[in-house]
Amino acid sequence: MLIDKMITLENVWFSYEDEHYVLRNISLSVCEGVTVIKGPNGSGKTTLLKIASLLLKPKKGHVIVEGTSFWSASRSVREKLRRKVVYVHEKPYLFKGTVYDNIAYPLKIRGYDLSRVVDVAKEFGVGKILNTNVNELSAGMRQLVALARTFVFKPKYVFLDEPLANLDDENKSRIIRIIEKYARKGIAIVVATHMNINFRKEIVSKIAFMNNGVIVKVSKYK
Amino acid sequence: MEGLYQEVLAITLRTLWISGTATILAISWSIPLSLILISSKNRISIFIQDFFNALISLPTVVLGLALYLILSKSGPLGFLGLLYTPLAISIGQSILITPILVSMITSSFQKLRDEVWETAITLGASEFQASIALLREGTLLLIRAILAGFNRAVGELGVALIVGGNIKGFTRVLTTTIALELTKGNFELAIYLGIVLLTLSTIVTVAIRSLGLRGAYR
Amino acid sequence: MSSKALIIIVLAIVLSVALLSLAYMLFTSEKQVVLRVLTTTSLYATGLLDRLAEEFSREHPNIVVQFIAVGSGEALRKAELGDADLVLVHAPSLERKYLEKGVIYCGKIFAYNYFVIVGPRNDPANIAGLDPIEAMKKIYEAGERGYAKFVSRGDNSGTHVRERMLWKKAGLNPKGKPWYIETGSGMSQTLMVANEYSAYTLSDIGTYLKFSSKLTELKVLVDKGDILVNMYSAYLVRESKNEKYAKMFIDFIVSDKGQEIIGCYGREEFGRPLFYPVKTASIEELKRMWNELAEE
Repeated sequence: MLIDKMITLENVWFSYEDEHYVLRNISLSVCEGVTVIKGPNGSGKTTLLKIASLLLKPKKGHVIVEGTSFWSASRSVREKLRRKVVYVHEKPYLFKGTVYDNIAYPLKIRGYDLSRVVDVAKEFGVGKILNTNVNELSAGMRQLVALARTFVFKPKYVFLDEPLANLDDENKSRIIRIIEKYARKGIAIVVATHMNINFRKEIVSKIAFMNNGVIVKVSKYK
Repeated sequence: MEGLYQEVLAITLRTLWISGTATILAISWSIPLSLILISSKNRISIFIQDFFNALISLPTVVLGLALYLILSKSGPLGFLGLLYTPLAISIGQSILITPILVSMITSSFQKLRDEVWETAITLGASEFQASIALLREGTLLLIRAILAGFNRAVGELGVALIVGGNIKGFTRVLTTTIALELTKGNFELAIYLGIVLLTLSTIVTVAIRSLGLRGAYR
Repeated sequence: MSSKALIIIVLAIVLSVALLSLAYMLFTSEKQVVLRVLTTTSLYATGLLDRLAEEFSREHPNIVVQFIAVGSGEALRKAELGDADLVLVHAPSLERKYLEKGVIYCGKIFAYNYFVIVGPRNDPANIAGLDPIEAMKKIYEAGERGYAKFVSRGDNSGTHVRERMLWKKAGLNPKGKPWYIETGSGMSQTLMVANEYSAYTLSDIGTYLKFSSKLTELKVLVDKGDILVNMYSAYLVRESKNEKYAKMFIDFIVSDKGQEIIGCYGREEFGRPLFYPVKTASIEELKRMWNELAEE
């Protein structure tokens, strides 16, 4: 496993405001394939995901991205690294406007060509509603739009927070298939969930079990 | 009667122009300031927010007098020659409504901010781009705050009277005209002008209300 | 965020202020001299000054006269701060104070009329036709016995200064008495209050006449006596940079033409003039009275 293809948390502690630590001494590395973080609600999965996806700064410990300690790096380095990482909320926020606007957003701010939007939308099953206003979408559709918006700019690390919550069976299996497909392409995908998700064994690299702010067990597969 | 009508029209337009300028000025610093305040959640920013909340009820005459002393020929900014000009009123009103804008923007953006900011940043936006996204997502809230500020500027008397001087054809606005007509004993005209003022702010308030409803629907 | 945003804020402020001042300069770039005149409210509210300025501008189209209506005390204080080219006031004792300080100079009396003591129609203090000082004594007495009330401006205006002088001459101090009401507001509001309370008050004749139709409870009871002469004077302000033009305006209002406008103003509306031009009294006589009033 090459160190320059990983995000690693080293002895990370985190607390909101002056409260007690919600994460205690977490060490975990994320690499190609699917990493599953399993644990009950309130065990600290979301916080862990936000730290690993560089949105929250840990109180103690380090976040190493491709060999660089992220929070001690310069601003420009941080912005460059951050652009490879994306976090998707359990109930993703969609920007005002159409489905197309949302999927095009990450490309626009990077100055990329927008021609990819239509293909990616089709792949995620939202190709026919590109011009629909996001106000009119169901929860499942919103999740699919958010995922399309996530994968459209070819990120290297994707963090999905409860991606299957609020979905019907059809959409659940569609999203599982999509995750497996991108994991096979070499993208590191981290899925935090309290459910049992049946991914194909060969694409799951590890499962970390969390409880009460600590990782209690890690099962490695590859 | 013809002449009177024209004068009322001129005064109304001048009021809109002066208070509009004040609102634009206030927006130019209130929006960035609000964005900073909601993004840095430390004690200082909370203190500043409380401070602005308290300033909302600052009496206009106190602000007017303070500005008068600053803009007076013998005051620190006297050399600018701004006293008794429309620009002096605009500046005074822009200071007056800044706490309203900042308080309304920070309080209404707080919730929206977390969602939009996180989403934009994680999708690769720079902090500047994320701010733009936040403003776009909160346009309605923003317009609401701006209209509320404008309404306050149009309806205030103290600043306009003290630093404007109520000079005929130059710094005379609706509220100062009402005060003057009251002094003159022209109660009828004062009431008539009051109705014009009330109509203006009612239009603005209704606009705020309807935007608010549509905003909530989102 | 903070450093970048701070730069944006500063830029935004600088930019907007610059733009606005530019726009403002474009608006006012015509080669006009602006004369700032601080004037007492009672004088301005009659509309006489706008009429005078209109005529003056016809003769001097390059001079714009701007009136700012405030109380006499405020006008003189602001003149001291340098915020006017001219003051038009009617409080001799205050004027003298500022003359001595060197704030104002080159004073000219340009109009006069009379203060009047107005009061309830049934005149509970029995002052009708009395000498002003005697009338004040009677009002005090009636006030003490609970028959009468007096409403004061209480705002250091020319009228208020005169009222204090009347009390002083009568050897009385009504301040703090339950029947002595201070409004702290303009003449019109004070008259309205007097009307509501059926109280006595001191008013300039101009404002009273303009309002008389609304003052159903009140009538003029005392209007004679040197001490009720209300003299309006114009002064140059030492700090002014438009001395030459300010002088022109003063010269205009004491000129025959200016005096004629003053003498005629209000005649149509009220059947009598609101102000008398100075030539209707001997100027020496007026100066003597001014000096007497300024003594206080």
